[in-house]
Amino acid sequence: MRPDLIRGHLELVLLGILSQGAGHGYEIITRLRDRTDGTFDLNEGSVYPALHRLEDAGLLASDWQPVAGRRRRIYRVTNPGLTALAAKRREFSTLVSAVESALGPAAALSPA
Amino acid sequence: MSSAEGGAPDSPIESYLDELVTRMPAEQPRALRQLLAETEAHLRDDAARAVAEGASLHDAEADAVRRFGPVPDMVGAEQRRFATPVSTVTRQLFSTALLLGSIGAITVGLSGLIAEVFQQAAGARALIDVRPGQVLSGSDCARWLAADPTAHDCRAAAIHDWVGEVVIYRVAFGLLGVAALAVFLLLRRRWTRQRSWSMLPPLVSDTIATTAFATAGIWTLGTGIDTLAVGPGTGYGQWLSAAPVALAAAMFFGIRLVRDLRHQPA
Repeated sequence: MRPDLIRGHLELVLLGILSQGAGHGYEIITRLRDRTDGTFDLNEGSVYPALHRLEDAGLLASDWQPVAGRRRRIYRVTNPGLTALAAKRREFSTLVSAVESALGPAAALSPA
Repeated sequence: MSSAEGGAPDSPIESYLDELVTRMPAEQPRALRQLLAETEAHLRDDAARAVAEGASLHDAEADAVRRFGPVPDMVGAEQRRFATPVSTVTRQLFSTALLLGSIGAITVGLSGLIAEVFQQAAGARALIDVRPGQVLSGSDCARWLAADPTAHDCRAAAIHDWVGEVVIYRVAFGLLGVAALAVFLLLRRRWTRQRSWSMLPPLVSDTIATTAFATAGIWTLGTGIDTLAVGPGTGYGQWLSAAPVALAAAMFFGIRLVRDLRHQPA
Protein backbone atom coordinates (compact mmCIF):
# COMPACT_ATOMS: atom_id res chain seq x y z
CA MET A 1 0.00 0.00 0.00
CA ARG A 2 1.26 3.50 -0.80
CA PRO A 3 2.88 5.10 2.28
CA ASP A 4 0.82 8.30 1.92
CA LEU A 5 -2.41 6.30 2.30
CA ILE A 6 -1.38 4.92 5.67
CA ARG A 7 0.23 8.19 6.79
CA GLY A 8 -3.16 9.91 6.95
CA HIS A 9 -4.44 7.20 9.28
CA LEU A 10 -1.25 6.40 11.18
CA GLU A 11 -2.41 8.00 14.41
CA LEU A 12 -5.69 6.05 14.32
CA VAL A 13 -3.79 2.81 13.70
CA LEU A 14 -1.31 3.52 16.53
CA LEU A 15 -4.09 4.37 18.99
CA GLY A 16 -5.91 1.20 17.92
CA ILE A 17 -2.87 -1.02 18.44
CA LEU A 18 -1.99 0.54 21.79
CA SER A 19 -5.59 0.36 23.00
CA GLN A 20 -5.08 -3.40 23.07
CA GLY A 21 -1.98 -3.20 25.25
CA ALA A 22 0.96 -0.96 26.06
CA GLY A 23 4.17 -1.43 24.14
CA HIS A 24 7.44 0.10 22.97
CA GLY A 25 8.10 1.33 19.45
CA TYR A 26 9.54 -1.83 17.97
CA GLU A 27 6.78 -3.91 19.53
CA ILE A 28 4.12 -1.60 18.07
CA ILE A 29 5.63 -1.85 14.58
CA THR A 30 5.90 -5.64 14.87
CA ARG A 31 2.22 -5.83 15.88
CA LEU A 32 1.29 -3.53 13.00
CA ARG A 33 3.25 -5.65 10.53
CA ASP A 34 1.83 -8.94 11.85
CA ARG A 35 -1.77 -7.78 11.93
CA THR A 36 -1.75 -6.27 8.48
CA ASP A 37 0.35 -9.00 6.90
CA GLY A 38 2.89 -6.39 5.81
CA THR A 39 0.29 -4.30 3.94
CA PHE A 40 1.58 -1.07 5.41
CA ASP A 41 4.98 -0.42 3.88
CA LEU A 42 6.07 2.70 5.70
CA ASN A 43 9.42 3.86 7.07
CA GLU A 44 9.50 2.40 10.55
CA GLY A 45 11.15 5.55 11.87
CA SER A 46 8.05 7.58 10.98
CA VAL A 47 6.15 5.83 13.74
CA TYR A 48 8.20 7.54 16.48
CA PRO A 49 7.36 11.17 15.62
CA ALA A 50 3.71 10.07 15.35
CA LEU A 51 3.89 8.50 18.82
CA HIS A 52 5.51 11.67 20.16
CA ARG A 53 2.81 13.85 18.60
CA LEU A 54 0.11 11.70 20.19
CA GLU A 55 1.87 12.01 23.54
CA ASP A 56 2.18 15.80 23.12
CA ALA A 57 -1.58 15.86 22.51
CA GLY A 58 -2.21 13.90 25.71
CA LEU A 59 -3.63 10.89 23.85
CA LEU A 60 -0.71 8.67 24.86
CA ALA A 61 1.48 8.52 27.95
CA SER A 62 4.88 6.92 28.19
CA ASP A 63 7.49 5.87 30.71
CA TRP A 64 10.92 4.35 30.46
CA GLN A 65 11.39 0.78 31.63
CA PRO A 66 14.21 -1.72 31.27
CA VAL A 67 13.10 -4.49 28.88
CA ALA A 68 15.46 -7.29 27.79
CA GLY A 69 18.47 -5.38 29.10
CA ARG A 70 17.68 -2.15 27.29
CA ARG A 71 15.84 1.05 28.31
CA ARG A 72 12.55 1.20 26.41
CA ARG A 73 9.91 3.83 26.20
CA ILE A 74 6.61 2.11 26.82
CA TYR A 75 3.55 3.83 25.41
CA ARG A 76 -0.01 3.40 26.62
CA VAL A 77 -3.30 5.04 25.65
CA THR A 78 -4.76 7.58 28.06
CA ASN A 79 -8.49 8.09 28.67
CA PRO A 80 -8.61 11.08 26.29
CA GLY A 81 -6.78 8.82 23.82
CA LEU A 82 -9.52 6.20 24.07
CA THR A 83 -12.16 8.87 23.50
CA ALA A 84 -10.21 10.19 20.50
CA LEU A 85 -9.83 6.64 19.17
CA ALA A 86 -13.60 6.10 19.29
CA ALA A 87 -14.21 9.37 17.45
CA LYS A 88 -11.52 8.70 14.82
CA ARG A 89 -12.86 5.19 14.33
CA ARG A 90 -16.36 6.54 13.66
CA GLU A 91 -14.96 9.09 11.20
CA PHE A 92 -12.95 6.40 9.43
CA SER A 93 -15.96 4.04 9.18
CA THR A 94 -18.05 6.86 7.73
CA LEU A 95 -15.29 7.62 5.21
CA VAL A 96 -14.95 3.97 4.15
CA SER A 97 -18.75 3.61 3.76
CA ALA A 98 -18.96 6.81 1.76
CA VAL A 99 -16.09 5.82 -0.56
CA GLU A 100 -17.56 2.35 -1.09
CA SER A 101 -20.99 3.81 -1.84
CA ALA A 102 -19.43 6.22 -4.33
CA LEU A 103 -17.52 3.42 -6.06
CA GLY A 104 -20.54 1.14 -6.41
CA PRO A 105 -20.40 -2.68 -6.69
CA ALA A 106 -16.95 -4.12 -7.42
CA ALA A 107 -18.37 -6.21 -10.31
CA ALA A 108 -19.27 -3.04 -12.18
CA LEU A 109 -15.56 -2.18 -12.35
CA SER A 110 -14.56 -5.44 -14.04
CA PRO A 111 -13.46 -5.02 -17.66
CA ALA A 112 -16.01 -6.36 -20.13
CA MET B 1 23.09 -6.69 25.36
CA SER B 2 22.28 -8.67 22.22
CA SER B 3 24.80 -10.26 19.93
CA ALA B 4 23.70 -7.83 17.26
CA GLU B 5 25.11 -4.94 19.31
CA GLY B 6 27.54 -3.38 16.83
CA GLY B 7 29.95 -0.59 17.51
CA ALA B 8 32.32 -1.45 14.67
CA PRO B 9 33.60 1.59 12.73
CA ASP B 10 31.59 0.55 9.64
CA SER B 11 28.44 -0.36 11.60
CA PRO B 12 25.40 1.02 9.70
CA ILE B 13 23.56 1.50 12.99
CA GLU B 14 26.43 3.50 14.50
CA SER B 15 26.64 5.66 11.38
CA TYR B 16 22.87 6.20 11.44
CA LEU B 17 22.93 7.25 15.11
CA ASP B 18 25.90 9.57 14.45
CA GLU B 19 23.97 11.26 11.66
CA LEU B 20 20.89 11.57 13.86
CA VAL B 21 22.92 13.33 16.58
CA THR B 22 24.49 15.65 14.02
CA ARG B 23 21.21 16.65 12.40
CA MET B 24 18.94 17.02 15.41
CA PRO B 25 18.81 20.62 16.69
CA ALA B 26 20.72 21.15 19.93
CA GLU B 27 17.88 23.27 21.39
CA GLN B 28 15.94 20.13 22.31
CA PRO B 29 18.51 18.03 24.21
CA ARG B 30 15.93 15.86 25.98
CA ALA B 31 14.06 15.11 22.75
CA LEU B 32 17.39 14.21 21.14
CA ARG B 33 18.44 11.89 23.96
CA GLN B 34 15.08 10.13 24.01
CA LEU B 35 14.85 9.82 20.25
CA LEU B 36 18.38 8.46 20.15
CA ALA B 37 17.60 5.85 22.84
CA GLU B 38 14.38 4.78 21.08
CA THR B 39 16.03 4.66 17.67
CA GLU B 40 18.99 2.65 18.91
CA ALA B 41 16.74 0.17 20.77
CA HIS B 42 14.60 -0.25 17.64
CA LEU B 43 17.52 -0.73 15.25
CA ARG B 44 19.33 -3.16 17.58
CA ASP B 45 16.13 -5.20 18.09
CA ASP B 46 15.50 -5.35 14.35
CA ALA B 47 19.11 -6.31 13.57
CA ALA B 48 19.11 -8.95 16.33
CA ARG B 49 15.96 -10.50 14.86
CA ALA B 50 17.55 -10.69 11.40
CA VAL B 51 20.81 -12.10 12.81
CA ALA B 52 18.77 -14.76 14.65
CA GLU B 53 17.22 -15.64 11.28
CA GLY B 54 20.68 -16.14 9.78
CA ALA B 55 21.68 -12.79 8.28
CA SER B 56 25.18 -11.40 8.78
CA LEU B 57 25.44 -8.62 11.37
CA HIS B 58 26.38 -6.01 8.76
CA ASP B 59 23.52 -6.94 6.42
CA ALA B 60 21.07 -7.10 9.33
CA GLU B 61 22.07 -3.60 10.48
CA ALA B 62 21.95 -2.22 6.94
CA ASP B 63 18.42 -3.65 6.47
CA ALA B 64 17.28 -2.28 9.84
CA VAL B 65 18.56 1.18 8.91
CA ARG B 66 16.93 1.05 5.46
CA ARG B 67 13.56 0.06 6.91
CA PHE B 68 13.80 2.78 9.54
CA GLY B 69 13.99 5.47 6.85
CA PRO B 70 16.30 8.42 6.06
CA VAL B 71 17.57 10.53 8.97
CA PRO B 72 16.39 13.86 7.45
CA ASP B 73 12.79 12.53 7.31
CA MET B 74 12.98 11.54 10.96
CA VAL B 75 14.55 14.84 12.04
CA GLY B 76 12.07 16.85 9.93
CA ALA B 77 9.10 15.09 11.53
CA GLU B 78 10.53 15.65 15.01
CA GLN B 79 11.25 19.31 14.31
CA ARG B 80 7.66 19.87 13.18
CA ARG B 81 6.60 18.85 16.69
CA PHE B 82 8.47 21.81 18.12
CA ALA B 83 7.46 24.31 15.45
CA THR B 84 5.63 27.33 16.85
CA PRO B 85 1.93 27.25 15.87
CA VAL B 86 0.74 29.92 13.41
CA SER B 87 -1.71 31.26 16.01
CA THR B 88 1.18 31.84 18.44
CA VAL B 89 3.30 33.52 15.76
CA THR B 90 0.33 35.78 14.87
CA ARG B 91 -0.09 36.70 18.52
CA GLN B 92 3.66 37.34 18.87
CA LEU B 93 3.66 39.59 15.80
CA PHE B 94 0.58 41.46 17.01
CA SER B 95 1.83 42.04 20.56
CA THR B 96 5.32 43.07 19.40
CA ALA B 97 3.91 45.39 16.72
CA LEU B 98 1.55 46.92 19.30
CA LEU B 99 4.40 47.57 21.75
CA LEU B 100 6.84 48.95 19.17
CA GLY B 101 4.07 50.93 17.46
CA SER B 102 2.99 52.53 20.73
CA ILE B 103 6.60 53.38 21.66
CA GLY B 104 7.07 54.85 18.17
CA ALA B 105 3.92 56.96 18.54
CA ILE B 106 5.02 58.15 21.99
CA THR B 107 8.38 59.27 20.58
CA VAL B 108 6.50 61.23 17.90
CA GLY B 109 4.48 62.86 20.70
CA LEU B 110 7.67 63.77 22.57
CA SER B 111 9.08 65.26 19.38
CA GLY B 112 5.95 67.45 19.27
CA LEU B 113 6.77 68.79 22.72
CA ILE B 114 10.37 69.47 21.64
CA ALA B 115 9.00 71.19 18.53
CA GLU B 116 7.00 73.50 20.81
CA VAL B 117 10.21 74.31 22.71
CA PHE B 118 11.91 75.07 19.36
CA GLN B 119 9.10 77.42 18.48
CA GLN B 120 9.27 79.21 21.83
CA ALA B 121 13.05 79.47 21.68
CA ALA B 122 13.77 80.22 18.02
CA GLY B 123 10.45 81.30 16.57
CA ALA B 124 7.89 79.68 14.31
CA ARG B 125 9.99 79.98 11.14
CA ALA B 126 12.79 77.99 12.75
CA LEU B 127 10.32 75.16 13.15
CA ILE B 128 8.69 75.32 9.74
CA ASP B 129 8.77 77.74 6.86
CA VAL B 130 7.49 78.24 3.34
CA ARG B 131 9.98 76.55 1.03
CA PRO B 132 11.76 78.75 -1.54
CA GLY B 133 9.63 78.78 -4.68
CA GLN B 134 6.61 77.25 -2.92
CA VAL B 135 3.36 78.77 -4.25
CA LEU B 136 0.58 79.39 -1.74
CA SER B 137 -2.81 79.24 -3.41
CA GLY B 138 -5.40 81.97 -2.91
CA SER B 139 -7.96 79.63 -1.40
CA ASP B 140 -5.44 78.29 1.10
CA CYS B 141 -4.38 81.80 2.00
CA ALA B 142 -7.99 82.77 2.60
CA ARG B 143 -8.48 79.78 4.88
CA TRP B 144 -5.27 80.45 6.85
CA LEU B 145 -5.98 84.16 7.22
CA ALA B 146 -9.50 83.40 8.39
CA ALA B 147 -8.10 81.08 11.04
CA ASP B 148 -5.50 83.64 12.15
CA PRO B 149 -6.85 87.16 11.73
CA THR B 150 -3.80 88.66 13.49
CA ALA B 151 -1.43 87.45 10.73
CA HIS B 152 -0.11 90.28 8.60
CA ASP B 153 0.21 88.22 5.42
CA CYS B 154 -0.52 84.81 3.91
CA ARG B 155 2.96 83.46 4.63
CA ALA B 156 2.66 84.26 8.38
CA ALA B 157 -0.83 82.72 8.51
CA ALA B 158 0.42 79.57 6.72
CA ILE B 159 3.37 79.20 9.11
CA HIS B 160 1.06 79.66 12.10
CA ASP B 161 -1.20 76.90 10.74
CA TRP B 162 1.66 74.52 9.99
CA VAL B 163 3.29 75.04 13.38
CA GLY B 164 0.00 74.04 14.97
CA GLU B 165 -0.05 70.91 12.85
CA VAL B 166 3.54 70.00 13.68
CA VAL B 167 3.03 70.41 17.42
CA ILE B 168 -0.59 69.40 17.94
CA TYR B 169 -0.69 66.48 15.49
CA ARG B 170 2.48 65.01 16.92
CA VAL B 171 1.31 65.39 20.51
CA ALA B 172 -2.05 63.88 19.56
CA PHE B 173 -0.24 60.96 17.93
CA GLY B 174 1.79 60.57 21.12
CA LEU B 175 -1.41 60.39 23.16
CA LEU B 176 -2.66 57.68 20.81
CA GLY B 177 0.62 55.89 21.55
CA VAL B 178 -0.04 56.14 25.29
CA ALA B 179 -3.52 54.66 24.72
CA ALA B 180 -2.01 51.86 22.60
CA LEU B 181 0.54 51.18 25.34
CA ALA B 182 -2.30 50.94 27.87
CA VAL B 183 -4.07 48.43 25.59
CA PHE B 184 -0.81 46.49 25.31
CA LEU B 185 -0.42 46.34 29.11
CA LEU B 186 -4.05 45.23 29.55
CA LEU B 187 -3.67 42.49 26.93
CA ARG B 188 -0.42 41.35 28.48
CA ARG B 189 -2.10 41.04 31.88
CA ARG B 190 -5.09 39.18 30.47
CA TRP B 191 -3.11 36.82 28.21
CA THR B 192 -0.52 36.15 30.91
CA ARG B 193 -3.38 35.06 33.18
CA GLN B 194 -4.59 32.78 30.37
CA ARG B 195 -0.99 31.54 29.90
CA SER B 196 -1.12 32.59 26.25
CA TRP B 197 1.10 35.68 26.40
CA SER B 198 3.89 35.57 23.89
CA MET B 199 6.07 38.07 22.04
CA LEU B 200 8.72 37.78 19.36
CA PRO B 201 12.15 36.92 20.78
CA PRO B 202 13.89 40.04 22.21
CA LEU B 203 16.69 39.65 19.66
CA VAL B 204 14.16 40.09 16.83
CA SER B 205 12.12 42.92 18.35
CA ASP B 206 15.21 44.83 19.51
CA THR B 207 16.78 44.50 16.05
CA ILE B 208 13.60 45.84 14.41
CA ALA B 209 13.31 48.71 16.91
CA THR B 210 17.00 49.69 16.74
CA THR B 211 16.95 49.69 12.94
CA ALA B 212 13.72 51.67 12.68
CA PHE B 213 14.60 54.30 15.30
CA ALA B 214 18.21 54.65 14.13
CA THR B 215 17.05 55.14 10.53
CA ALA B 216 14.48 57.72 11.61
CA GLY B 217 17.00 59.47 13.89
CA ILE B 218 19.79 59.66 11.31
CA TRP B 219 17.43 60.74 8.55
CA THR B 220 15.78 63.53 10.60
CA LEU B 221 19.14 64.68 11.99
CA GLY B 222 20.69 64.74 8.53
CA THR B 223 17.74 66.57 6.98
CA GLY B 224 17.70 69.08 9.86
CA ILE B 225 21.43 69.84 9.53
CA ASP B 226 21.09 70.06 5.76
CA THR B 227 18.16 72.48 6.07
CA LEU B 228 20.07 74.59 8.58
CA ALA B 229 23.48 74.63 6.92
CA VAL B 230 22.84 74.24 3.19
CA GLY B 231 19.16 75.14 2.84
CA PRO B 232 17.30 78.30 3.63
CA GLY B 233 18.29 78.25 7.32
CA THR B 234 14.69 78.08 8.50
CA GLY B 235 12.29 75.17 9.01
CA TYR B 236 15.00 72.95 10.47
CA GLY B 237 13.21 72.57 13.80
CA GLN B 238 10.62 70.14 12.48
CA TRP B 239 13.47 67.69 11.77
CA LEU B 240 15.76 68.48 14.68
CA SER B 241 12.87 68.12 17.14
CA ALA B 242 12.34 64.54 15.99
CA ALA B 243 15.99 63.47 15.84
CA PRO B 244 16.83 63.43 19.59
CA VAL B 245 13.89 61.22 20.62
CA ALA B 246 14.43 58.84 17.69
CA LEU B 247 18.14 58.58 18.47
CA ALA B 248 17.46 58.14 22.21
CA ALA B 249 15.03 55.30 21.42
CA ALA B 250 17.58 53.79 19.01
CA MET B 251 20.23 53.94 21.73
CA PHE B 252 17.88 52.32 24.28
CA PHE B 253 16.99 49.43 21.96
CA GLY B 254 20.58 49.24 20.68
CA ILE B 255 21.89 48.70 24.23
CA ARG B 256 19.26 45.98 24.74
CA LEU B 257 20.26 44.42 21.42
CA VAL B 258 23.95 44.30 22.39
CA ARG B 259 22.94 42.74 25.71
CA ASP B 260 20.76 40.16 23.87
CA LEU B 261 23.64 39.31 21.53
CA ARG B 262 26.14 38.98 24.39
CA HIS B 263 23.86 36.64 26.29
CA GLN B 264 22.98 34.31 23.47
CA PRO B 265 24.94 31.06 23.15
CA ALA B 266 28.11 31.41 21.04
